[in-house]
Amino acid sequence: MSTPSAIVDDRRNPFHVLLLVACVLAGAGGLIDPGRGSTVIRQYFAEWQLYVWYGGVFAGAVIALGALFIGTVIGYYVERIGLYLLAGLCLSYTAAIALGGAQFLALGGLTVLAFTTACIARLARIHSILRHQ
Amino acid sequence: MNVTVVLAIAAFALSAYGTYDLVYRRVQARKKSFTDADRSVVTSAVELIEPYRVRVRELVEYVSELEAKLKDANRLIDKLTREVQELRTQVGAMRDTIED
Repeated sequence: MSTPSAIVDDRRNPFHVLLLVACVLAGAGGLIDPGRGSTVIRQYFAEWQLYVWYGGVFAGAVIALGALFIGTVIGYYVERIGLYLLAGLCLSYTAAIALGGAQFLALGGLTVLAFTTACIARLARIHSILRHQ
Repeated sequence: MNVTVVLAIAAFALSAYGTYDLVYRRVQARKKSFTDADRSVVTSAVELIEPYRVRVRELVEYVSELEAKLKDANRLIDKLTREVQELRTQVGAMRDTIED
């Protein structure tokens, strides 16, 4: 008997939702004033690229958050769109910290790396669910 | 172009792929709507099932009737039990009278 993954999958747990809300807020904050955002990311992007980067984080988080409230299997496809953006952009942030060298093992670097890993793990789970549909 | 920028571009590309995949699947799902042949298969299946559905309904009615009869029988048994009990009491009283 195949595992009814889509039925038992608990998507709207507070931890999941609040992480995405934090991303929405971080993205919105960066869009309002990218100059006051992370110094790490500012080293690698031009000003207009910063807007794209923060816009991507904002859009990815909003899409992934909205997808949690779509009850059907379409929700997984939509969530995947948002998580691709979030995972990729956070990975680029992690790369920026790693290229910066010393700060990589600091709390900020590890936290973003952990969040990136969580996004990738969630994407793998979504792929597994969609493969059984 | 450094790794950071390449990864950011890859993120947008993957997200665009995800959007394309979603739209593609929605379009494919719409194409898979019922054809006349599918409808005729469903109609035949419904026709095939119909006699069994009627039979099941009859059986359910029969079981309901049996249930009602069983209730009546239980009620009758209760009544008879009470009457036998009364008769026993009367016989006991009569025996006492005779013994006296």
